[in-house]
Amino acid sequence: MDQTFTTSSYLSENIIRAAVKGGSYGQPAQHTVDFIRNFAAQMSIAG
Amino acid sequence: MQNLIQLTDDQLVALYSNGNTKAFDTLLSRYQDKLYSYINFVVRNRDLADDIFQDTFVKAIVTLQKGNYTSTGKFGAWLTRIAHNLIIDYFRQDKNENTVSNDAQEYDLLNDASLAESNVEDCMINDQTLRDVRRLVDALPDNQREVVFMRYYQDLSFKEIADITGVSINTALGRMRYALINIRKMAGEKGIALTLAS
Repeated sequence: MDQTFTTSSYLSENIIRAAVKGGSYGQPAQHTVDFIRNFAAQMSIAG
Repeated sequence: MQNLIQLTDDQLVALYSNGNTKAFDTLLSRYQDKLYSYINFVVRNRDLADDIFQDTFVKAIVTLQKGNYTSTGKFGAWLTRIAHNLIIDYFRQDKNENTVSNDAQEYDLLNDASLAESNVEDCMINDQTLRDVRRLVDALPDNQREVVFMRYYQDLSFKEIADITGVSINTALGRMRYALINIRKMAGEKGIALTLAS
């Protein structure tokens, strides 16, 4: 296989990985996290 | 007193099943950002991502409390599979209701004005290049974008990706291959260099 092509593909894949890794995709809303915690506690008591 | 943070997922699951709610809180803290990121990356809507995130944990909690969870050491992958199925259900229902079609988002983003604004000068700046590449990834069809995220952000193996998404390893590999082909094609069309200045 063409060495230049292989190196180029490898480089661009690393760029895509870096771009995805470096992205910010947010966090769940605090009220959602609180709801889940409360639900887990209630289910535990009920169980 | 046990330090919960140092326990494995399966140890925390066992404690929660025996009534230790702090053990569940530790599991939630361990996975909430990673799981939310995955959901939000796929659905691209914060409110919808919150709903699916909540439903994922509600399903997980009910399953754990019923004693139906089988410890495999892959709690995170199990959570992601629940979220994946809920996302599929949502898009299927959404499509049936003929509201905002998921399909309509595919490839139309090639003509996204924000992409067209990219130029060669912008690409000389690494941050800009990475932002451009993220836009390219965002323009991929849903199933390809999902595989890219699982592979590059979550560092999952193709075997794990295949298990979570319910497809064969070859299909997962094929989706990644087409994702890379599409990204390179779009990058070529938009004049975005897939290299960084050193």
